[in-house]
Amino acid sequence: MSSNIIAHCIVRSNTVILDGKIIYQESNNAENLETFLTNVYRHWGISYPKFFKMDILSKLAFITAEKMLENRSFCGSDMALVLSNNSSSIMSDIHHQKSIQKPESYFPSPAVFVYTLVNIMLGELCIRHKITGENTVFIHEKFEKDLQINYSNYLIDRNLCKMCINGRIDVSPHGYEAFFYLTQQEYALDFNIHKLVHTPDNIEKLHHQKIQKFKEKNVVESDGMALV
Amino acid sequence: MKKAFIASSNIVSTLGYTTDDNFNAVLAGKSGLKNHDLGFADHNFCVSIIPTESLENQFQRFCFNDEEYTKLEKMSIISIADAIKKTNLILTNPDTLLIFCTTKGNIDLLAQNSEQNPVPEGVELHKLAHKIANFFGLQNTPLVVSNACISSLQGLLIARRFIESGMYKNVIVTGGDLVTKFTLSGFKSFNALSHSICKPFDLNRKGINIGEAVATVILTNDVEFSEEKVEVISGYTTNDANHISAPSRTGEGLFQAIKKTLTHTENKVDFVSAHGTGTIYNDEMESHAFHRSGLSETPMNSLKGHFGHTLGASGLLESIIAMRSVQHGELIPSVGYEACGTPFELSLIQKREQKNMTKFLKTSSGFGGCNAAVLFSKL
Repeated sequence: MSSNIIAHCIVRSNTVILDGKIIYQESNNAENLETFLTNVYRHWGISYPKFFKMDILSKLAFITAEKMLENRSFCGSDMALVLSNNSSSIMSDIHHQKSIQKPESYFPSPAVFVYTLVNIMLGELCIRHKITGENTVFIHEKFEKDLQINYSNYLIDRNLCKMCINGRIDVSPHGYEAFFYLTQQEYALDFNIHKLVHTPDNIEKLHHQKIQKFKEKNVVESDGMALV
Repeated sequence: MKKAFIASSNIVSTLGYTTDDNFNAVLAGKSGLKNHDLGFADHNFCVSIIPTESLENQFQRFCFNDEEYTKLEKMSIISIADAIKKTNLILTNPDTLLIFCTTKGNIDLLAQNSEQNPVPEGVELHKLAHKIANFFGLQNTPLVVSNACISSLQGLLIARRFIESGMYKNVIVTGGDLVTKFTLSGFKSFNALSHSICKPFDLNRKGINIGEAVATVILTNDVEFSEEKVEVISGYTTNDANHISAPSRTGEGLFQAIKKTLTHTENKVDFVSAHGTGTIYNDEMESHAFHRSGLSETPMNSLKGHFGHTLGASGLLESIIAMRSVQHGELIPSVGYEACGTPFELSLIQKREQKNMTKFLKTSSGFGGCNAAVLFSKL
């Protein structure tokens, strides 16, 4: 058995790509990821004050999932989350470490400490989208696509979920990446949904699709593959 | 569909370096929790810490290469080596996977970070897992699972699923975490720490103790190799979708995980190894979930008074002690429990007792709203 990819979203180079289309873009000299994500949040007119309490990894996860799941109806217990990550919660780890490093400035904060667990981003996504199904984070240096497909398809095949949010997300002092895609059972016959079979090749094509250089307009076509 | 059996196990903790050492210490009512002056606060911490000298003595026989190992890596190597010694399975073929489960790994090394080197060598979790896999000559890229306090119970569940689907024949599941200034400072800022030995589910409970440990289970699809004669029957994880640090008020997430896990169980569960951390809200949440699951009358304990909360190791460590408990037909008292302090009264074990048992349930919950339940059965 296998599953189909029915949507995907990438955040890269100050650009948000949803299903192959650029839906938000800033020039590459934008200040930093934090500012970029906040700009996206404001541009989309979202009202979710919890966003501002999140650490950078959870903010990135939030933005990457937001439009992919918008207007999509599903039962919370039927949705699973299987994400791949490299650096764990290193940005919050460094933040917390700074607060305890020197005796004269020792002042750890629970609001920072709670984000020193990489799975908190799953918790934030679950709260935002009312997801109560299976959820886990696999930590690998590289995105292990076969393992991702096997595990996520297992959950779907055994009816542990009907849909699964998959992907790779990472933030470290060296940079960031975010690529989410949504899969569902192959036999789900809905002709209104564009589908792509959940294979390593297809993941690779979506994950590394090219992004056109910055243009003045916010909405331009990417030269990546659109889901047809 | 293939079944998953426990071939062998190990626990490395303050209470010993093998499963049997740890089980015997627990039976004798020992606790690894002591007051330690850790040098960064104006008070002592009641924690379970493995003395360096004792660990070095144990690790000496593994010092045959030039590689430097951290405390957690040494504990992990000792743990996995002992579990491997106790099975005849060949684990160096591509049909074997290592799943390493941890919340923070070698996070103590982060204190050495600088502007030039923000992430010191060894902090990255996949490198830690690689180092351990390399030590044992394992062929596959190890998988790291980091899902707060359910990490290793979820790792075991993932291992079972890999075996069931035929992806791997054997899976070594290891869970480990250390007592660090990093973690203690955080829990202290949450006012979650108890200054004396924790009292899970008790009226006078005041919080958690942190402990360090590594636990290992080797799972196999071949019942012939199940020295422990225990099968991992089923299990589920859920998310509360409620709050990132506060447990659910109704226990809904844990209840759902238990309900799904027990769906196909014809016979009753004989014993429950609860998470029972000793915080007000966690234990309340669990009492709701167990009550709703019809498990209020089932003998139950929390082992946190013996080991402290061993974070990423806790689910697996406590499953192993529960397994021994069922194998020996010994109900182990829940240390620190005197009077019911939860909305629903549970059947917490108060004195050592003999009972013939077959099926047991292990549950775990953690920050991020995650919950896990796994059902085991003696063959």
